[in-house]
Amino acid sequence: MKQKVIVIGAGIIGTSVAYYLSKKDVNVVLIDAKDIAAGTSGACDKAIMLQSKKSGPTLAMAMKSAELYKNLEEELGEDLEYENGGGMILINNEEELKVLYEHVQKQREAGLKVTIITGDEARKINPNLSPKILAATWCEQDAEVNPLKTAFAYAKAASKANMTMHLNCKVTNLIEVNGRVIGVNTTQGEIYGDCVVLCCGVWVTSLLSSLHLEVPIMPRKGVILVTEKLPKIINCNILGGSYIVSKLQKEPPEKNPLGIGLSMGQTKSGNLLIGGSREFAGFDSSVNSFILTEIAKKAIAAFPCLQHVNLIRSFVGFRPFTPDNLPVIGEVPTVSGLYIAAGHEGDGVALAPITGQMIAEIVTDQTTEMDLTPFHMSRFFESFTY
Amino acid sequence: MAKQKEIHFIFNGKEIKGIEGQPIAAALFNNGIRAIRQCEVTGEQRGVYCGIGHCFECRATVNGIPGIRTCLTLIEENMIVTSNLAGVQNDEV
Amino acid sequence: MMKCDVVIIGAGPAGLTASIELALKGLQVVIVDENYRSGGRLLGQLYEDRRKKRVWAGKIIAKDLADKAKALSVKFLFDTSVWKIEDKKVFLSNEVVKVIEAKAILLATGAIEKALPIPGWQKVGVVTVGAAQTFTNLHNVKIGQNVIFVGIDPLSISVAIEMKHAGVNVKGLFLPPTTNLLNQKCNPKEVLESVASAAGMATNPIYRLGGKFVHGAYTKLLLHLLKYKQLKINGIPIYFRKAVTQINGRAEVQSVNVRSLKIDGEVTEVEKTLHVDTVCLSGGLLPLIDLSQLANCVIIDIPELGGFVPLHNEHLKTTVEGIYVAGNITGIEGAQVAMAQGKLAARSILREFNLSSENEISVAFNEIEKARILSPITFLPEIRKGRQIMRDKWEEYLKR
Ligand SMILES: Cc1cc2nc3c(=O)[nH]c(=O)nc-3n(C[C@H](O)[C@H](O)[C@H](O)COP(=O)(O)OP(=O)(O)OC[C@H]3O[C@@H](n4cnc5c(N)ncnc54)[C@H](O)[C@@H]3O)c2cc1C
Ligand SMILES: Cc1cc2nc3c(=O)[nH]c(=O)nc-3n(C[C@H](O)[C@H](O)[C@H](O)COP(=O)(O)OP(=O)(O)OC[C@H]3O[C@@H](n4cnc5c(N)ncnc54)[C@H](O)[C@@H]3O)c2cc1C
Ligand code: FES
Repeated sequence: MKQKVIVIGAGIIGTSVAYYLSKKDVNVVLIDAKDIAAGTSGACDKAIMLQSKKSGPTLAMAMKSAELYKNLEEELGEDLEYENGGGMILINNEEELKVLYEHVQKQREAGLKVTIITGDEARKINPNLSPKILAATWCEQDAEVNPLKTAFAYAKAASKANMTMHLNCKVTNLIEVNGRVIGVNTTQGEIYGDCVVLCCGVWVTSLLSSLHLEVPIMPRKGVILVTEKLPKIINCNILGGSYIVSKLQKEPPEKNPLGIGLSMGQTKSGNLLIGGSREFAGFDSSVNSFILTEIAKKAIAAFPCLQHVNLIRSFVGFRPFTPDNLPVIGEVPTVSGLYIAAGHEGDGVALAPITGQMIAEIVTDQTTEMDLTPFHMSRFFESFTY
Repeated sequence: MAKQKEIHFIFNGKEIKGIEGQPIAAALFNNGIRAIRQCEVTGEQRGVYCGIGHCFECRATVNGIPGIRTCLTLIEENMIVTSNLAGVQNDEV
Repeated sequence: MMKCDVVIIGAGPAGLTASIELALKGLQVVIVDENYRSGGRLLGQLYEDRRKKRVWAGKIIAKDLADKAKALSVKFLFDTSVWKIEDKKVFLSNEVVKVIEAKAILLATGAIEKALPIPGWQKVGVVTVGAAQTFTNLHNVKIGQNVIFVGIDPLSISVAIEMKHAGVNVKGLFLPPTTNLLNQKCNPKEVLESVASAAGMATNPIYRLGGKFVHGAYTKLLLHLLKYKQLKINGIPIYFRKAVTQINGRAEVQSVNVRSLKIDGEVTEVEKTLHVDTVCLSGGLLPLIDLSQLANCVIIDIPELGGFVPLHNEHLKTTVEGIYVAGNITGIEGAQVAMAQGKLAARSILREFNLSSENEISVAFNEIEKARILSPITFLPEIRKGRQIMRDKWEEYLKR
């Protein structure tokens, strides 16, 4: 009999896990409390950015993921608005230049094609860029994709391979017998399977707590502004230098408690998505005028032509944050038959394909090509040796 | 009916006659012009859709300021209205 | 920063009526509206009110209200959108006045139209029924020569009649196709039923049409009407059994594809082309609640009121201290009801300033039902049930 795997959460991570599992000829059941991409994956940006990742396990993983993205449209037979247009981090002053120079060197050592270019070179790529921008980093490997379309396409492809899907179906708790998870209780009844994969992003903690387990995933709120449709204003992913610099220098969060920085991407339909903020505020989805104004100011400083552009709305998403900025991927320690793929913070879109592939490997073959140790949940268990 | 004052303005290089108190879009309609701009992405022509400022389909550059909704903006003497349709031939009238 | 007692967002019938009531008691009131003039949706309304045997000319009523308000020194800020509300501060898109601080805020932002995205809906010459109404009745502009409507409801029927009066060739009203995307009533019987029950009895064109039938004999009437493929109201054909499946044209609308519908709403294969230059879409109305969301009001879904609305008590106070609502933001109804609600909201606010009595509030409350009965147009057949659900939800909220 075929292995039956229950995947909880139909965000970009859960749908990817479901898709790569369905390619392995297992029976997949995908469950979501709401809908496909109704969580963070429907309230985020669209960058597959490599140069923003710290060199180490995340960068290695992101590079593999970026490779998988290259053929994904063809593989799934859908338009995902994938664009391999590169990305740049804007450098405003000498101090940022110094910090980013070092960062770039480390990434180059890790094999990433990233360089520092002058302000004028940056303005050749993005002619609307302010003349005040001193320099920029440039990485041609950076790409972008529509996360909603990707999640829907993954779910569609998995459904074609016999996946069953239960939407508007909330998992209330996991069914555990003798240390083994054998199914889930949902608002639509019990569902049994050989194993369960938790892909519920920032909401994963409540399901784990039903087994008296804890994982330190917390919502890190992000605000994004959406402009009216515009002709092409930017030609690649944009990130403001100040945010990356403060992250690299491990600045205390008190210095910028709202975590206001700049990130920009333009959708295929022409709307600019302008981020953002990084704030710990629980699940409070309200937006205050200060954040909106500050983000808008940063965008106008980098692209003065946005001065007269209308904003049509803003939205809030909750990044699944972990204290060491690494996702939690692999078996859940102390119980069997339970796996987790959550906590991708601000990288879930970029890391979705590789996460799905790794979970599919470990669930079906019990081994993975990549070393999962850095991502294992046991790192949060003090006296637990894996 | 009270006397209505005529107002003259320019839309994409063409002189248009309207009546005081009319929004730009209404004056354009009266002159048989319904296509106001081009979609920045698909190049398709666009005109008034909602008529009250919600959809942003009727935008044009008014006296140098881009992104002005013509359904909400009253015409003024010698106003200059331009859009990315300037120079685009409309082959169907 | 500007300061005042009450800031009202929306200069429609609800906001204008409230401003007068507040200013009469000496409060300093500022009304903000993103339009260039006051009146809101009243401006486009022009039709015969059969019961009163007079013409309901929204433009004139709006002017009367605005004149009164101005005479009472209500301050107006036009061309100004409110984009945020925070701690009784209202943030504006205005270059000069950027923030107003008030002791109370009234949200009277009205309603928006639902989209009806049938293929080709983005073409030049496709407009919403609201745009058609505004351009025909307010701007006196003919938006096309040969026009059809997609969506059959009290609003599209009344706008079609107004357009015909204005000399436009209205070729008919059709249904949209049934698709998951549209999530609409597209089944001929259901549509006919909802039109018949939503429109106020006395003026209901469907009833007039089937004049020989008694009012209670619903089903008989409906089945009778559905036998015809086409009905006419004021000379305008209404096709309860035909759907527009596509809008064609290179840049501007040139034609539409029309298909017959089975009685259950299923689209048949046979397709005909109808030459038109203008298509008016009527997909229904939604309360415009974005500002109440930004102000952190509790929002609930009550389909009987038109969808998501801010939770409020009978006297129009929301869950956020100092924020009140009136008009279509509370549920879709006609202009008279909006005006009555404006008055009630004003008296609720006055109560905070100790300037109104419980009795005055009750009187204003009762006037809403009177206005409802007198309305020549009813949008939602179960509006009273919706209002009751709101009362229950408020009770629940208080007990929480
Ligand atoms: C503002 C912002 C910008 C971002 N920009 C980027 C970017 O540019 N690039 C990038 O790579 N990443 C970005 N991210 C991060 C990325 O969005 C997330 O890492 C990613 O979406 C997480 O996906 P997920 O599938 O784990 O979670 P989610 O998308 O939240 O999916 C979890 C799903 O689980 C369901 N669920 C929860 N509990 C239950 C239950 N009990 N029963 C059933 N279902 C349940 C939910 O309904 C939800 O659909 C951004 C995030 C934010 C907030
Ligand atoms: C297309 C359409 C047609 C209608 N036709 C009829 C009809 O024929 N007969 C009838 O009785 N009723 C009709 N109605 C119902 C109509 O909503 C009510 O008659 C009445 O106008 C509601 O009054 P109101 O004061 O609640 O809102 P409105 O009259 O809609 O006024 C709201 C005002 O708020 C302003 N506003 C909204 N948001 C903001 C913001 N963020 N910042 C600044 N200003 C803002 C708007 O510009 C508008 O002027 C129609 C509604 C619509 C949408
Ligand atoms: S027509 Fe919709 S904003 Fe002007």
